[in-house]
Amino acid sequence: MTLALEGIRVRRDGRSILEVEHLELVRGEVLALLGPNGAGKSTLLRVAALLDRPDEGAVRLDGRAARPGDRAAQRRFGVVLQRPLLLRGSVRYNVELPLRLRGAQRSERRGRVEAALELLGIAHLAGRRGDRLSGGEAQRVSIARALVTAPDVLFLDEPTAGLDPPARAALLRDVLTAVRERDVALLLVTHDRLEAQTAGRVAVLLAGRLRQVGSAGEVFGRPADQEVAQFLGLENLWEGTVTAARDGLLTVACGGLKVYAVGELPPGVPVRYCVRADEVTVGLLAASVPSSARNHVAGTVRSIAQRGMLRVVELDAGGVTIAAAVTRPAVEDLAIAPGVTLAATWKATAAHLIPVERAPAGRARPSAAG
Amino acid sequence: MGFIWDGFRNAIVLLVHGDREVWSVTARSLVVSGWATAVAVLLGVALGMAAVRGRFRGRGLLLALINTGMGLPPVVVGLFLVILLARNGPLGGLDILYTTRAMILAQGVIALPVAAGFTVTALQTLDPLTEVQLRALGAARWQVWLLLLREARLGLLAGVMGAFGAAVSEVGASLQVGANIPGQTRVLTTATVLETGMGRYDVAIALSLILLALIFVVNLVLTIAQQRGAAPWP
Repeated sequence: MTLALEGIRVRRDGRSILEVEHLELVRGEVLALLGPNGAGKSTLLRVAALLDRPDEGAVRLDGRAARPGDRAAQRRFGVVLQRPLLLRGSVRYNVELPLRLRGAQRSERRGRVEAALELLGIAHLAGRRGDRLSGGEAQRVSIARALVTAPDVLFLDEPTAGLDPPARAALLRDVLTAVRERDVALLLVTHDRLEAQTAGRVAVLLAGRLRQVGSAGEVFGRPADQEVAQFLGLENLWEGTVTAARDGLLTVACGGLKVYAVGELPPGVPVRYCVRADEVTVGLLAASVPSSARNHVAGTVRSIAQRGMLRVVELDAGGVTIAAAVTRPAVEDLAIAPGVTLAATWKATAAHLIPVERAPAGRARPSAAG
Repeated sequence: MGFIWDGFRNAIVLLVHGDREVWSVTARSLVVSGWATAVAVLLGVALGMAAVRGRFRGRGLLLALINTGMGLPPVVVGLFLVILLARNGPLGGLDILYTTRAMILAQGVIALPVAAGFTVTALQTLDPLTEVQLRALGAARWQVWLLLLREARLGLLAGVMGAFGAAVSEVGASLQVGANIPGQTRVLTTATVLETGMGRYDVAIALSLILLALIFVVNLVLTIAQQRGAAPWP
């Protein structure tokens, strides 16, 4: 099974709101479509799921162009929209509905419904009314309803929106298990960066344009341009200029700092120097020992903020702010507090350079898509 | 004041002993208003669906006309139908003036905007994404509409009740196009008007009680059907 979007354009009120040159999804693959609110993610999902007709371009299923209203193609999909949208009636009625619509026999329906309910861990809710469920339960019913027909592709539009963090994590875990067990392709629309990292591939959609498609490691470690980096929440993103290049090791001047990265750029190129806070370690100055890490920078702790289970320590180093993500015990053991001077360390290979002139804002990177 | 109590007492006697004319008028009322409601609901639901889902010019005007129609004066409907159905009128060839068919038509015209108006409200209270979700579940177009109507059935049944109420309680148009002919076009409302005019309050009260009971029973059945699907408030 291959689902491909080719040259898709969607316009609203004369304004282009979605432009996708190429995007492909294959059997068993999990692709996260990541972007901020209003980026056009739901529009893309609805076009791909044959629910909306694009102004230009084609959706191809196994190479054949498919259009909205093509029920044979439509019935190979399972779609969960942002709200569960359960119909009046029991959970069982709701999950059984797609099978009824396809004219499935009663005996077949029963077995499939039970299996789908089990898969999502909601067998105990079968007799409950759809309007008497919690948000998480209703969303699980909605997903079971989408999976009951054993679709080739499952589309999930922000399935965990509105759920509390534990329910969100549990739902996502169960969905991923379910699609992997059944070898279903999943298009997961999300604005949550952590959620997107659970996918095999990530497509970043900003202002209706696909800006980067790649593995989670590629996208989060090597964002295609500054806007992607900013959206991905790359904590350390500094303006600088390559000052030297030797054996693939580049020296970059960022403010008053001299830092290193790996790459092939000539001296004089203006760049954005990116490094994730997770890649930066901090230690006491006296404890610094020779290591393979190229970057060692002394800085004064300006603030410590909580981020989930971690703490993000911000150091002021020569007018540049360096963020490092550390654990709480590390904060306690090193007695990290505002005003303390620490050494920040990271490998040159952990840094990523974005040449400033390479990716003008608002243009897709054709090589990255697909 | 005594004549009021006499009226009630005589009405009960009439009802208990089963006056043939009274029951025949009741049956005719039920048949005429039942058909009028059925036709009005069928067309009204279709019209309401078109007004909600349609993307055509004049949709706003259609909605305004439906809402205006919900307050359509029966005598105006009766007047225009008499003109249309009169022997020398444009629809004179149908030859249905002063028959129960003309009364069904008149009551249907009055009830139709009520059914359409309730349909519009019922469908518009649904989440607009419901239709998209149903298509995503693999529903064919007709299955989408049936399921949407099922989802909106609380409001739609209220529309059926409203349409039946408008039809059965209407008197002006029925008098004009039916002429209140005994044994042919006399229904509960027109008979009540006649009996009141003749000072026979006991019969008028009996007819009124039957009319109220009829409306109550029909609405009771519809209410039970409606509330079976209703979620109780927390």
